[in-house]
Amino acid sequence: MPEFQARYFDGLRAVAHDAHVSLDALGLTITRAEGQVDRWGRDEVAAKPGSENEPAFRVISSRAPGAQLVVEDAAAIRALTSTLASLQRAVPRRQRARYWVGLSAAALAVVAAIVVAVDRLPEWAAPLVPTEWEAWFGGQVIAGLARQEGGFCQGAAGQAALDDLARRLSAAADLGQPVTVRVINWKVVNAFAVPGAHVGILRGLIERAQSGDEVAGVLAHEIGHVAHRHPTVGLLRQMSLAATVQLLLGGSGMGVQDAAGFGQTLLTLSYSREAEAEADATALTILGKAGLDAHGLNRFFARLQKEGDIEASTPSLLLTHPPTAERLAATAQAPNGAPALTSEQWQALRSICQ
Amino acid sequence: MSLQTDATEAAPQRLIYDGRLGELYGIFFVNLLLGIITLGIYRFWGRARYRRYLWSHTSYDGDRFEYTGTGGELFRGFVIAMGILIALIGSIFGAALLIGPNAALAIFFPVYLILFVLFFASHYTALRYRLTRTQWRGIRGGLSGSAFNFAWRSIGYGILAGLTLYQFVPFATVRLWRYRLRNACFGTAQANFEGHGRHLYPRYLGSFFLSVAAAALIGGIFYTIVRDDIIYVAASHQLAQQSEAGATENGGQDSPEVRAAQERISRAGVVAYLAGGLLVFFAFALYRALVVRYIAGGTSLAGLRFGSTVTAGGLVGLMIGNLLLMVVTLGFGYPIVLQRIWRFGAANFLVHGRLDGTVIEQSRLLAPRLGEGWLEVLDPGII
Repeated sequence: MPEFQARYFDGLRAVAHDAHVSLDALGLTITRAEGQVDRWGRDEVAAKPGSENEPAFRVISSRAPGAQLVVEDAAAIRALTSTLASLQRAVPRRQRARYWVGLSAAALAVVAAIVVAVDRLPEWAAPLVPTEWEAWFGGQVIAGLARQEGGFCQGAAGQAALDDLARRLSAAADLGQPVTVRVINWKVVNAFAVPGAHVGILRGLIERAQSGDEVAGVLAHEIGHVAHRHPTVGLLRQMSLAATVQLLLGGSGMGVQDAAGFGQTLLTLSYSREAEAEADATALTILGKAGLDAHGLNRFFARLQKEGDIEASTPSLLLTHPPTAERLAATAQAPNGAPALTSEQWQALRSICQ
Repeated sequence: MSLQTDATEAAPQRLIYDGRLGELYGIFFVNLLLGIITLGIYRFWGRARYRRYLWSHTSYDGDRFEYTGTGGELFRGFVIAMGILIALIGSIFGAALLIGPNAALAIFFPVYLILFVLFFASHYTALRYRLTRTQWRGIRGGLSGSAFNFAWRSIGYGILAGLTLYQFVPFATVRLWRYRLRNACFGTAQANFEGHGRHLYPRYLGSFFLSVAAAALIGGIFYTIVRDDIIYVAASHQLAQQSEAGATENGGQDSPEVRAAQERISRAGVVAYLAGGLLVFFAFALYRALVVRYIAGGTSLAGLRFGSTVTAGGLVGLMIGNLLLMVVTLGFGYPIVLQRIWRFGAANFLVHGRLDGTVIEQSRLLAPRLGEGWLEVLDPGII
């Protein structure tokens, strides 16, 4: 017959009674230090809901509503749950091996799910996004930006030169159909690819370029992004990350969420650095296959870096495409291949916004 | 023997927290997994699990606290509050569609006033919910008083603080704590609070002027560093305006020199803003630590007196450490943050005197049936 010490609260006054408990198949006998004796029958007792997973196991009884017997000794808890059928289901979770196995599995599953969702899923899912959706979405983005800034540049001869260049580079990149390139009348020096094989070049970039080869280099870089579906992958990754952070921090205060948003941005940036290197490498391949001078990309970035072109308020090329030393080294090429544009084409492109 | 007993009785007791990080991570991962599966609905049950764990690993005088709230109560409270919130906001759109924009404008302000009052009231009702769900030695806590009374006080004090250029803040803080604490009880024992904002005011004024001085210092340094750039940019803009007609040659673009100057100004501005924010945070940490010590020191309950050993340095370390932890772990450090907060709280809370439990009976105050709905909707906190 197991016996143990426990604490007894009567639920009426804030007094803790030391109690001696003796346990048998029919119930428990509780003898308080002050002398009172209570007998709780096996059909009257239950584990207080939730307390089975606390360090303090609490037994309550229909015989004494509000009262509780508090047991902390692991051997006593085992004796209680194994002797009385009414307490059997209340075996503490932490005493069940299954619980720890399940918990480890849950932890692994969560970490794996998040790593997959952020790291792998965007790349798997991007090819599944219907091309029409991408094209529609990308078109909206470019048109929205153009509307917000100076509109599209309309020079027909310049557009024809650009289309010709885009066609040759897209073919070299084995894209099914050539990318759509538009010039936006905005003085910022930048270019970008959005989902759906749309590439936008800003007026500032055309103005700063000193030859068709430099524009071709930048365009090949953006086509590199398109070939790797970086715009769609990046968008999906942003969505996965935002959903993950929301899940992890759903209930916490705004300060914490802002702070985590900062971490999120850093993580996204590290992915975008990888993407930039990938697009650079692809750009060199494309330019080589198209038989063009692959020197322009490197020359343009190096010159921008030397002259300094950082605008505080607008995202310029140097901010979104930081020309690190590694990047410049990786894209360094000896002058080779044919010029990307004829001098008539280059002049037409230069005046596309007039 | 009796001498030794006297000595131990004179020394303050502390709360003991014996929770383990590994077990908190167990709760964290289960909550996360079930949260993913249930699209976030599980968070109410998850929150109840955290609280049950934290409460039951905190003990005073040999007995553990007990949290008796459930996820279901939190969830139902949230659903009801959310329903009312949607109805309130919906009434504005409904009025706009059915009657016209003027009707929508007419009820816009009353609706937002209601939400504003509910925001402050929710902090009080949430405190009531938590106290009634907290038990120690089988006796539960309670909170009388009116949530709307508390809300109106909060709003009134807020207005007064604004009118006095924030000089009323310490008085408001003490008055609101007095209202909470004088209405709080454990069983039939009523808590009491004695204190006045004038005892906090000197330190508040010190922190206030320290902040102003820090802001002025940072502003001065900022101006000294970028003064030449500011003059240069302003002068070249002036020049460009005067020769507007002839300046189309560079397409209205600033020269690289001007843009470099602008860039230096904005970079220095960001640094100054961050440095200033940090200095103000440090300056007010001195005051915040005093508030915690003062409020705890003025509180008594059934012959017990309380105290706190919180210091400004400790508070700064806790808060900045937790913020950094959340950032670098992208939220996966949440259990570490909880563990740090609870350890800090237990280590810095003192209890003087001995409780005579024989005179404290079970609370007869009515306990709310649902929990924290409005707080959850309007201001979700850390646990």
